[in-house]
Amino acid sequence: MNEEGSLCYVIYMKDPVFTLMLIDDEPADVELFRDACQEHAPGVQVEYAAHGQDALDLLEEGKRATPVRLPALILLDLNMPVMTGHQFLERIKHDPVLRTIPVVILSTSEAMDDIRQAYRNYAGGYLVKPSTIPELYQLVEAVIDYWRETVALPPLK
Amino acid sequence: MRVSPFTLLLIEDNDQDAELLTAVMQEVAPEVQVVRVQGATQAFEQLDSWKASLPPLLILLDLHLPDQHGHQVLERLKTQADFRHVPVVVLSSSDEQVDITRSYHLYANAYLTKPYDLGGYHDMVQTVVKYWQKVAHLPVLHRV
Repeated sequence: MNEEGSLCYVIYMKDPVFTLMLIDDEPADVELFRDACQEHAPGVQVEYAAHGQDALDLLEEGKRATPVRLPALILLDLNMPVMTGHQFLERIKHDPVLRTIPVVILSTSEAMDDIRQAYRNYAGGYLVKPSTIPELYQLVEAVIDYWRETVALPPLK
Repeated sequence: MRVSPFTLLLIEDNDQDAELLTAVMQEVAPEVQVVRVQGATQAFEQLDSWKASLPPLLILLDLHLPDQHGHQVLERLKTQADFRHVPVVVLSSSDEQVDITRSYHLYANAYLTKPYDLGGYHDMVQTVVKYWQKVAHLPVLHRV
């Protein structure tokens, strides 16, 4: 009984990592986001994909891995080559396994059409890319407070 | 972008939980107007009455309701053109993985487990309000 108890404890302690996938084709934005996470979200591991198709490939790979390797949260840009954010969102929200992963839009667009379409396709939120570094820090903090510290996420299996 | 008032529909049959949440909301974010209904039937009546004017910006949904399971309410909301875009956050006392996974599968925006005490409610409401009211953009411009 004691042994089992300590085993559970060890497993819990070994996996405090929160993996976030950022899908964005703009290297400068990716770099800013990486810095913001390093400073304001310790323990958050960020994985990158350059566009929707790249992300789907990574997720398919993670789905088949043992143990399954999927992000707890996805942050998604909209305007990207190969597969746009809207196309990616629609695909993932119809996938029997991946659909439970929350996908939050992070875009420069403030167009109401983009916002409505994202929520109609079950986005977990629509965030506009901030124009200053302090605003980006605040955004990262609010996202982590909500999705990591407050919300109960689905088990990834 | 920010529209006042921020209306939140709370679907909750437990009076104590509803009063606690409303009181904490009043304290943390008095500008958020909480409209509370006790079950599925009342919720859809309320939503229908809003359809033409001001649908809520956010829905908080308990799972154990007297007339219908919260998951059925969620499924109805997420397949109706009029409400599909409104984020639904489940707020339940259950921390069962099956309830959590099923909620996300049915397109719940997020799943919150009910806090145990006042301090927990305070922290939760603060984070939720910050995310939805101050950080996220919501599909509201059509009604300004």
